[in-house]
Amino acid sequence: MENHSFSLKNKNIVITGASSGIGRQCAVECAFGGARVILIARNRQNLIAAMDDMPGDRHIALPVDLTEFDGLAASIREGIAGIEKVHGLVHAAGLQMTCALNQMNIDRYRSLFDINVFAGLEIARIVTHRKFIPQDGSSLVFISSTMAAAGRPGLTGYSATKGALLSAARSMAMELASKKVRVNCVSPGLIMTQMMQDVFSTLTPEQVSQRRQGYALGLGRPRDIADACVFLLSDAARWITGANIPVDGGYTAQ
Amino acid sequence: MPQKEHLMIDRLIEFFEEILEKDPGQIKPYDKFREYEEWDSLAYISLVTKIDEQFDVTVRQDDFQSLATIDDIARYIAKSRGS
Repeated sequence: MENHSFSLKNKNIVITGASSGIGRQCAVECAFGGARVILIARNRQNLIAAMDDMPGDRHIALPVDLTEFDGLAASIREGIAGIEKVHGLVHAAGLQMTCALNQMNIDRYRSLFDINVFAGLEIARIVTHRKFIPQDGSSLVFISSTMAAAGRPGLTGYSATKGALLSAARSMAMELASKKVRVNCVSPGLIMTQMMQDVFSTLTPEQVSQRRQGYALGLGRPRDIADACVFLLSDAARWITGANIPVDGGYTAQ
Repeated sequence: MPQKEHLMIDRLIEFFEEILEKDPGQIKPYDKFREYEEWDSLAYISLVTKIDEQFDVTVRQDDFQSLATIDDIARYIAKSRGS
């Protein structure tokens, strides 16, 4: 698979939220695709545990709180100092919050935007510095959500952040095209991650049943999202930028 | 009824007033809250979130099904906190 356009061999890929769920699966699949992965999340032990599932031994665990914006750039630059170029980024770190509009407040909006949007844009800024961009360019992937396009009660704040990613990615794609940096989003439907199982545990059986409706192909797995990310990170997607790929079992096709 | 439980009921009534956007005095401790027109799944999530934040009690969904009134909820919280 060395010269196959879908391969990630010899690529350095930064993944946020890499200790669990979609981010962790992205790290695993990128490693299987041949990449060296720089895994970012808060907890070092969880990152090390994620690396246990990954082939290869050159991966880097970077325990960083992405919402500590003051020291973020320095921490990331220090963490990736040993690698010359960054070929790709997946911003999978995120916070899901179901909360009625009349219970939302600025702190809640801020906590959602900090990790879902601002952290992703900051990392994008850092890894698209001229010195990190390889000659053949790089690829940024933001994990958005079907909830950027469709509405659901209680997701006003969350939807706002995921919609912001879609909009930001399009402008970023235009701005960075001249540097051969592609910018795209993947919009997952309902994926049975641990985070989602925790959310389900707070819902009534009727609510759970309601949440499962509309998925023509059933609910998704983290692997379904990771595979789409690997494609966008690879050279096979060289002519795709500013796009959003719904990976949602048909949810938004209705 | 112990004083602490009275205070808890007062707090819960405030939660219900805020979540369901009811005027003061419209919520009573022995009302069957599921019969309020404004009660829905999102109100449920808001309520259990508030109870978690304010009383440090995680309401199990199965347990909640058996609670019918605000007084029931207050007793559940008191029991969960061991008071």
